[in-house]
Amino acid sequence: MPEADDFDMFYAATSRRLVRQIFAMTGDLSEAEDAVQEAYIRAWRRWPRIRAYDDPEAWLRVVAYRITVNSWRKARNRLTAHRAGRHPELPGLSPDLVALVSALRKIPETQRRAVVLHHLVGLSVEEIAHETGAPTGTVKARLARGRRALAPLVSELDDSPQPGATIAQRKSKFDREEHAHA
Amino acid sequence: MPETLSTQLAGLAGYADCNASLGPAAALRGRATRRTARRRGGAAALGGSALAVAISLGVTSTGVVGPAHSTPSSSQGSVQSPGSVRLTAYQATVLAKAHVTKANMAVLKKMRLTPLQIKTLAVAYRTAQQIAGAGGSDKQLTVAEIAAVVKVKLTVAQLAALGYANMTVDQIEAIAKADLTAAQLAALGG
Repeated sequence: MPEADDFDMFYAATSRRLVRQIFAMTGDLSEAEDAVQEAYIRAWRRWPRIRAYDDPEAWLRVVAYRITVNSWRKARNRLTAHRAGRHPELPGLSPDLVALVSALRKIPETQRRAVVLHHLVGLSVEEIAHETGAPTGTVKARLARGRRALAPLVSELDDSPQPGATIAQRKSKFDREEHAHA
Repeated sequence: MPETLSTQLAGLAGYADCNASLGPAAALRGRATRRTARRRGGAAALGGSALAVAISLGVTSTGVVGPAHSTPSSSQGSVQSPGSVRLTAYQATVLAKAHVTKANMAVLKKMRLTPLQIKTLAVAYRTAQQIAGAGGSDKQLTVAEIAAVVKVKLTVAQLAALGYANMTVDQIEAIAKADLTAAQLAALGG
């Protein structure tokens, strides 16, 4: 069955990359796995059409992202009351990356998506605008705001970098500053 | 050496790479196929149910709304009583199975029915289920019960969308126009 072989090859080549990207957008690995697999299930049901797209992987990324956003919304309504502030464990993740995940979770999902698409996936502003359906000006603003929010954690974006400081140390400074603003 | 945002995100990606566990592609294809089959089954059940509701309106093969009931089984020898409206065991079974689940609702939404039409259809199904009874055996219908069933006022296009591929235009139009009052039904019943 050539269609199945084609799909299987595409899955093998792209699925792990998509999990990486969705994980960076959500900070929840199991949710990223579920969303990506669900996206591939949907893709197989309309594979003859999707395989003809210029970039089927982009279609899958959009679908997987929407699945996670929908499940967030459901989960938020259902669990906010007793799970506020709790996030899934990420065993084995270095403190620096835990700090980054935590910081990413604090910025709005539209900014987080723009940051990941630009800095991890490597899309240009125009490509992000095309994928997210937002005007390029909006994408630029989201990227700028997202970077600004993450600046205390990232040397290249920080106005006053502290040589030798780890991300976790910068994160605690970030948290202190946020507390002070609050 | 300062870490860039891209480098840090790549670190996150590396973590996902090491820890993610994905099922094989064949398993996902299997799930997709099963899901499609389930949805098709649901749609078919709905089509059957809608047909049963239409049959309960008493549409003859010539497109005339007449005394109910003409059904697949009645054409094979079941006696039609001119003075009563009857459900055959076949119709009753189909209607009894017509639970309007969330999946069915989704199918109905895809048929471009409005929420009000879907709600009306759901009410009609439930009414028909109550009429059919638990045993699904033939049963005399009261005028009020039939009036509840024919409250489903569908247009020709909607009926066509419901999958009446084997019906003539006249028959579809007859059903669409079958906004019968209780008195009319009583008159039809003889």
